[in-house]
Amino acid sequence: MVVVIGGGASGLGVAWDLLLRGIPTTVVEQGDVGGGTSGRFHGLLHSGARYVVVDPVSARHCIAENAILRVIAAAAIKAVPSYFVSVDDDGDRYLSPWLDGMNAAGIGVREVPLGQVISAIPDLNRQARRAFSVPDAVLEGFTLLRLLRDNITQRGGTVLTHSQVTQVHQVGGVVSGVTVSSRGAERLIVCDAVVNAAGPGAGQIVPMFGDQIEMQLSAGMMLVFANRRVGHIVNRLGPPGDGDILVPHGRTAILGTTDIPHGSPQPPVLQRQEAVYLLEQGERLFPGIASWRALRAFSGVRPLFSTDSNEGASVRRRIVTRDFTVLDHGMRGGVKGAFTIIGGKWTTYRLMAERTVDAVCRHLDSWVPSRTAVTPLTEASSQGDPVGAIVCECEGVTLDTLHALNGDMDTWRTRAWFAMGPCQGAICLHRGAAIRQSIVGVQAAMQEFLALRRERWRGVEPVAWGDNAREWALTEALRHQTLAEEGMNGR
Amino acid sequence: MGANTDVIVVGRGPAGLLMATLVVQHSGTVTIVADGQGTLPLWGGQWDFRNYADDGRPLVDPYQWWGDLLGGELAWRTRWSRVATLWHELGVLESPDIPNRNRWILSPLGHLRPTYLAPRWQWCQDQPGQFILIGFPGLADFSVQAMARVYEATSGVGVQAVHLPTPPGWRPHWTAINWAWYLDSRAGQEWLIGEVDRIIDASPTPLAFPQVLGVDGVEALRERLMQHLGRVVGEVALPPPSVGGLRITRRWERWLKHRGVQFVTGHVTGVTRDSAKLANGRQLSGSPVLASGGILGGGLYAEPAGNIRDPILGTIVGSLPQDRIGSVGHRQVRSTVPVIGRMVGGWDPDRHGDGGALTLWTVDEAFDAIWTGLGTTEAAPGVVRSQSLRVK
Repeated sequence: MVVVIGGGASGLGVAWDLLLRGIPTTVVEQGDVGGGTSGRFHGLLHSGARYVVVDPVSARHCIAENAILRVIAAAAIKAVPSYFVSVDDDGDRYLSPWLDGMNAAGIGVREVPLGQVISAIPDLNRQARRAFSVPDAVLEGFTLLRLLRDNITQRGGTVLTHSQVTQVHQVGGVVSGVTVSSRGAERLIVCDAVVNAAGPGAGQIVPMFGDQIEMQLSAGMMLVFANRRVGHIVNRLGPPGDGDILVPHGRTAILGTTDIPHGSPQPPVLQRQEAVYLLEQGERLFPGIASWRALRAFSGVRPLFSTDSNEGASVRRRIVTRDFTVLDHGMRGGVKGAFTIIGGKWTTYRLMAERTVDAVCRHLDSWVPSRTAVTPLTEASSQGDPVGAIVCECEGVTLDTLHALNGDMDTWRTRAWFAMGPCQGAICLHRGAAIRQSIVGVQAAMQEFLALRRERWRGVEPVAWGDNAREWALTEALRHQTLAEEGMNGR
Repeated sequence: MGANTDVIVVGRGPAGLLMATLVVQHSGTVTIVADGQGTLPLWGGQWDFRNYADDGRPLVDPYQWWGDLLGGELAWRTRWSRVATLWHELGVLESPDIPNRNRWILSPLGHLRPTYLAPRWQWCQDQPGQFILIGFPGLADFSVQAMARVYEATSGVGVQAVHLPTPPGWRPHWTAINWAWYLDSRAGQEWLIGEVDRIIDASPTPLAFPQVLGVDGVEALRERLMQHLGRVVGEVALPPPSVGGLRITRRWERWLKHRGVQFVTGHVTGVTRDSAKLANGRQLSGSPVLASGGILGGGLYAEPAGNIRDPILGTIVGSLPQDRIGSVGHRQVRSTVPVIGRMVGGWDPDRHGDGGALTLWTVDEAFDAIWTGLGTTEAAPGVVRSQSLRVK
């Protein structure tokens, strides 16, 4: 038995890899699956093109994993045309090293006539100089997490949510078990190894392994626009920077990202200032972007880690490698059988998991090769056409779909995209509360409802301008007047 | 130059329509210019006075809360009787005596909340009591079982919930508006009366419907239901698009058009004291009154950096996140041109439930400002000329 701490992409990836090698596993996630960094990214399946100059190792990993994920997780990958566009001198200067890097990494690149790109993307900067097609794609994070979780449980693995590992037990300096606390109750899980895949929270787990590591966390803000104004992935050609990528995602488009040092694994409070800065950077690619309808902002914390601590502070963060590291704490003087996987990217989660489990296998002294690269993640059941009354109009979510999901409102959100559309819950949250009441009772349903209302506002507030501000003003009026949702007290 | 009327009202929400009403009632001429529909169909049709005290507790006596503010009780009673009289003329019946106190209405979540003036169709209570909630198929905004549970938990009174079956021709995507149009038809009305008769008991317990009992024919249908079932029947206002507000808007705009008010669709880009300029180059002459709304109504624009701008006057009236999105607006009625509506004055109408009162008060003020120019409060037809109506 191996216990994996963290139910994000790398944690579930490790669990899946372990199960395919015949090793029983339990995942312990402190919140919900994908509640951390894995649920907070721009949705890009990297080709590696972004990293060929500054981080060629990551670039090579990305292109290899890109090809693998398109096969094993086809349901979660949406192939859309993807371009790098040079819009200024920065881009032109970067062109030659970039093309060299692309060749070296073996990433297919093809120049596309500018007229063709501009006619396909009318919003693109008309001063654009050159455009290149690359094999980036859209990665639907929540879909892939669901696939992983479903496949893990089908193979007999366990995923404990809202649970925490509070203690690591050892016998003779070797891991023997962990204490897990779930909703107030504690239990002991006997195991042979523990993998810390807690992402930005990994640094807080490591002391339980008798070791210390220095994380370099950085927060990245992204803006979601209410419409799929651009159906293509567009990167600004140049050194990786802020606001230089737009990814179409479902019915929306996501502009990413900023890169700000951050001290805590929890995402920072979203600031309007930062959203406006991101928007200004986005103007370089899309000059009219300030007039697009922003929907919300969100922020993810990158679990970066520099093995050379002297280098870390002095180098610009973008240059800190997006490569990953597997730490064997036994080899570092800590508990044997304890491992930490740190750094990396969503795109390379599978490779990270493979390398981690390789290390675990060496510790367990039973070598079985990884099979994740050749084992497709299967869909548990295909959902038929949704029928029944519509609860969330923006995303067309029906009552039947929600009943079938059998979870709380936040599960509806990540699985069915409930309340994720342009109204951000203005029209549908109270309907959800009514449905939940029959399952969890009046008090709990109202708490869930008000919590989701606050969660939606946190993302809307920093981008409350234009039509989005108008939508939120409607929400405010609605919840106080028509719904009287806080009841008679607590206003 | 285009149309020439005494007054140009910019915006066709409740404030704009009320301003136009006052002017035509004093024999003035009005053009209403707006670039979309008004906001009235967002709401259920009730008109709030002051629902909550400063600490958030529900208010029973709004007159007491207002005290001498904004003219005191006499001024308020005059304002309210103006609305009640208008509603009578529109066929939106309210008892001829305006109420002295707030009454309770039900929210779609099952919470009770106060309001002041409500149309007769509105389900109202003076205190919590028994009733039967009538559930409609597929109407996600009116989950009767959930409402009954909340009502019982918060008021201590148990209520019944029953469900109607689907009528012939029903589709799962039907919203309140679809239901209301259906219930305007003879077939719909016969179906409803038959089914309700079948599923409820013989007691005189009042019935609470969702606000779907027809658009134009609500009074007739409600009367038939009450006669046939021998009990009180009322409706609970639902989230937008709201049938109650739609009913009033249709009747009110028709009423104004019959009295010569011109409706112009257009986007106003600037105003002077005696003209308004439209985006298409057209110019209207008359005394403008801005009823263009706050952020929600579209009269104020929130810029990315947070400034809240009035694009017509070119002024900045606040900034986010320092100001609350539900309360930011012009600080006074008498600006370069009068500004009216619930968002004027820096009150917090969402939280306090006083948007209706603020609309009444600002319209009064703006009308005064214009009428002062005339030098009289008596106006005979033909006497009022645009020259004399201008704001000083």
